Amino acid sequence: CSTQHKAPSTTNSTSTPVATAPAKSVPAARPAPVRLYKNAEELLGKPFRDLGEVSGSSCQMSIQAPPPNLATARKRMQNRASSMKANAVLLHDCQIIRGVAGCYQQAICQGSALNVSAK
Amino acid sequence: MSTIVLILALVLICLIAAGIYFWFVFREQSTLAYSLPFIKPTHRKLTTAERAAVESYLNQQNRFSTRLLPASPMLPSARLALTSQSDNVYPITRAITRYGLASDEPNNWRYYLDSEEVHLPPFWEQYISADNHVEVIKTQTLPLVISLNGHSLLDHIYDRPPTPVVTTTIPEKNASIRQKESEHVELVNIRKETYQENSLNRPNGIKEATSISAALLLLFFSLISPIMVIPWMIFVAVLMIVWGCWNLLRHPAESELKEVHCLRGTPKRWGLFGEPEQGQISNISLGMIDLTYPPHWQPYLTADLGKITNVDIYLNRQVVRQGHYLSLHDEVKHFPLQQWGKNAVLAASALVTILLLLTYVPLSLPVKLSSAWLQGAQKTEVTNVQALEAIPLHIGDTLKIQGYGMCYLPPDEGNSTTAGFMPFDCSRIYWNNADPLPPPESEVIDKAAALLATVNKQLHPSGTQQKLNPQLASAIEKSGMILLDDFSDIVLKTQELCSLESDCIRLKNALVNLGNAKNWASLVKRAKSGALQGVNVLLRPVSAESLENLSNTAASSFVTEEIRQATATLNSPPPGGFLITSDEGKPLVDHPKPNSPLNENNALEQWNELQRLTNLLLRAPFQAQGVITNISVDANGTRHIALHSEPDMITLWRYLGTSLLLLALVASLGYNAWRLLQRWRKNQHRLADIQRYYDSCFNPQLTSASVRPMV
Repeated sequence: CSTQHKAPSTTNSTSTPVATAPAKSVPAARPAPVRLYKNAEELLGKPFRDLGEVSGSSCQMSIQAPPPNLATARKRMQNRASSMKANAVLLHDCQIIRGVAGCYQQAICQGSALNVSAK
Repeated sequence: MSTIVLILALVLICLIAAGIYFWFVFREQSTLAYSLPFIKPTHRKLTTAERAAVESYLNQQNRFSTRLLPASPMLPSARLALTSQSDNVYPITRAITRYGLASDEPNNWRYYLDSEEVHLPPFWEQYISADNHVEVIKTQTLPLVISLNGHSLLDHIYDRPPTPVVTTTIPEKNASIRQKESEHVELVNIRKETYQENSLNRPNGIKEATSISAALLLLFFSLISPIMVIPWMIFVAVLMIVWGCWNLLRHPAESELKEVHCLRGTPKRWGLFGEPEQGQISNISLGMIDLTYPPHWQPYLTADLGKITNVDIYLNRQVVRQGHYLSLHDEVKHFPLQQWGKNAVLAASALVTILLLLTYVPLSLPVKLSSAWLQGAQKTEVTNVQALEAIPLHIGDTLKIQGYGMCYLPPDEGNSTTAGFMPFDCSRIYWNNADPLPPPESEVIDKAAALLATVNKQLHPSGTQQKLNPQLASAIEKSGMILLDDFSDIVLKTQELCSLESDCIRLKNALVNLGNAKNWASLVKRAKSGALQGVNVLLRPVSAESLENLSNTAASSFVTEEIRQATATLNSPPPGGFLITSDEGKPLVDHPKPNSPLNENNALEQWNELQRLTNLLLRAPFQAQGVITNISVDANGTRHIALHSEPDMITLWRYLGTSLLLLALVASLGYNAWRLLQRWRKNQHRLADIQRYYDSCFNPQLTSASVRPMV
């Protein structure tokens, strides 16, 4: 069974696979900065809209590969949120899990993408 | 208070019962001790031999008296007979006073131990000494001396045969008093004192007045006592009043009138040279009898000195009448005694009881109903307004009404939260033919309700509808923060309720802060434009609570004002008709009471309750029954009729009793105050009038002004 298994690409996220866009020479737009909130109290006094759940991960392909990086996973989550037009992410939790297909172990961060109203 | 009164009444009854018991006991003690006050209660029993000797002497004495003077009425001392009390023998040591009677009957000496007459066998005359040891027994009339200085009837009866008593010939002149002196005092007559003379020594009636006052006070307490005790208190009070009045008004009984001895002789003044003058009044004597005079006679005594004069004296040698003019009887007759003490006591007690009555017993109702019933009250029963309008009504009539009416709404006296919310007073009913008023409606109330509902729903979510993604919701829940998931709705509903700029300022500022907005206007603009749609606001629990309070306060102010206006609108009854009032505050309408106390509801619940009550009480079935205590017409032409529930028999008698007691007290106060004033004034110049009267008698040419006797 493991032989049929196709090794996931390193940049793969648990959500729907990203469509590989034909390489165009257009420079990639810098993603809007997404503020990371670590707990709900930081949202006091900041009206916000909830854009949905978002997550980011980093995979350690094999035992010899370097361990998965939480920061990378968090970064990827923020980028994800940015693409959802969020200007903030409320981090729920990050953890390193094993048993994910194609990864010896995987760092995964989950959060909520928010759109905080400015004054 | 009633237990105290009960105890008070029981103690009073026990005291009176004890008093009556002791009065009977001491009265039973030998009446001889009563009549000879100096007798000590020690006595011995009469032996049978002594009894036989006494009986034989009495038989002999009675036979002798009837044989000599059959026609003349027996002197009291002659009719002696033994009684059940004659068995007690009383030893006494006393001087014996003897008087001779100016009459031709033999043995007419009268013997006195102090002021009490006794019967002394004549054959013991020679054994009388200064101080005599005497043994006395009680007979039907006078006490009988059975032994004198060692001589006993026993010795007399058995030693010597019965010989008739030596009859002494009546000397031309009457026997003198013991000494053989030259002055001659004649006992002209023995009479009873007159009522006038007796009144001088009679008590002034203050004791009886006090008894009557205590009875009035007892009657007052009976009005506020429990029903069980009332009959006893009234019975005791009536007893005390009857005793008091009887003693005040009755004439003295014959037995109470003291004996007066009418003497004729020459009063002389004794005194050593140089004796001070002021003793003048007490050193005049008639023969051997030292006379005592009323002080105000002193100026007139010299007129009779050295002349044969009639002098009436009591046994204690106090002069009652002397000569032609000096007479206590005439004094009292022409210048009656003015005993104002009893009037003062009665007036004061009536005043105190009236004050107590005014303080503790509501008087208006008893007096009103009593007077109405005395003039005759009618009974009326009606079920429609026209019938009642056609009937003439008077205070005291009994009225029974059944129909549909509207409960009275008391006007708001400023304290809108309480008075406003207590809208209906169903102890007063408007009864007329007008159509019932519509129940109150208000948009403001709806807006306030909407605001409160959205705030309440967001602060206390029921959990059924979740707008956030589950992870965010659980993160927020874990943090303990409170989420407003429809902030825009709160802003819009606040603006709808608080449309004026000056309305709900604190609430608006709070929402501006929560919404991170510049000011209220921009926040409302964004809310109206939809910019706030889906925006959530996170706040701490304490902020959530203060937001809730702010919204409640804002909404309550609007709701309370609406309640007040609605009540004012309802409180405008149509002209005419009747306002039936229960002056005891009893509800005339039977309607379901709210389950929770009305004041604990918030403003909105109060409005809902107002609507519920309005539907019930704008046209409610009612029944009113009672006695009319007040009738009046207001400016609106509505006739106000106050009803008091028909008193039961006991209350009826209490009302009547209260009115009668008040009447009696007022009459007593009026009469006694008037008599007090009158008697006190007369008493001030009574003595002067008496002396002017005597002056006019003794020196007729001197005093021209005629002295008009006081009536």
